[in-house]
Amino acid sequence: MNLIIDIASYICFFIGAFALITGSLGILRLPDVYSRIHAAGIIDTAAVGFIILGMMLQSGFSLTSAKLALIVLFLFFTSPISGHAVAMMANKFGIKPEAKEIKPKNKNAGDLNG
Amino acid sequence: MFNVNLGVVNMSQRIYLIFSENKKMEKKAIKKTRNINKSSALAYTGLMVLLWVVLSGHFTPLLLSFGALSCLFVIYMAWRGDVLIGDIKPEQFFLKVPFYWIWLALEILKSNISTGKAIWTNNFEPEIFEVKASQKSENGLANYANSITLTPGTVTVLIKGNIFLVHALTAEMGKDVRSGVMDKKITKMAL
Repeated sequence: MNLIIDIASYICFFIGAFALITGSLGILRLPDVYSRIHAAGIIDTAAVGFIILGMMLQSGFSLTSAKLALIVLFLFFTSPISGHAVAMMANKFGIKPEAKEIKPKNKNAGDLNG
Repeated sequence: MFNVNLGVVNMSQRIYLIFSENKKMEKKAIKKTRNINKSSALAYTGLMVLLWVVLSGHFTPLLLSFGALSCLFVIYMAWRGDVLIGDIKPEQFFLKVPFYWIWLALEILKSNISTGKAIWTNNFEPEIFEVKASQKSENGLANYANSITLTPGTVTVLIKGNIFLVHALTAEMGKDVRSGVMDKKITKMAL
């Protein structure tokens, strides 16, 4: 039983580390600010989530696990705010995304101008 | 030297102004209703007690009484700040939010896999589009924008009223957001 939990937590750590590498590669490889936020989003969600899941498996059913879960909860509340702040400021200072613009079908929705 | 003194005088004057203005504001605030919504207050108390128990982990009578005191103080401040009038609904944390979180976690996992695939295969075509949110309350709008940003592959760039400008990494993810499944789920949650 102990061995199974150990192996499960090692797998979680491995997936988290792989997500970290994926996110860093994305930050290097993607073309502009807006796309790089997506890569940072992988680190914010998958990497942190899986590494803390591995830690929770190691500490077992205890108060420490609850505290680790709280860390994930607060991180998931706050990390999209920082991502949105970066995107909003990039938009405010006029950085144009290298992206295809898709126009809305109904005219009412189209009163947002960069 | 003179400049510094002048600065101090200005500063104290400014602080005095702030305080006097605050007193005026307070009189206005007392005139306001300061209603209390019972289920909201109860759920808020429950959340505070739960948070205190998880963070403390000590169960001697002395520390428990300190915890009860601090919880009561927080509830008092929330009541004074008109948090408990019922436009924010903390009782949903016990009723509907956990199910939404489970669904959101699965969604995050899926979009993580597709974003990772797009990065490793170097195959992406970013697109930017507008999406209309159907939530009525500010809290629901914030929840929707945060949920879009939290799933990797989509970012809310700009918010104006109930129209979001969203940047998506691949066409598939853009289609997911425009289909409005998440929008309907959050509207149904009635935060």
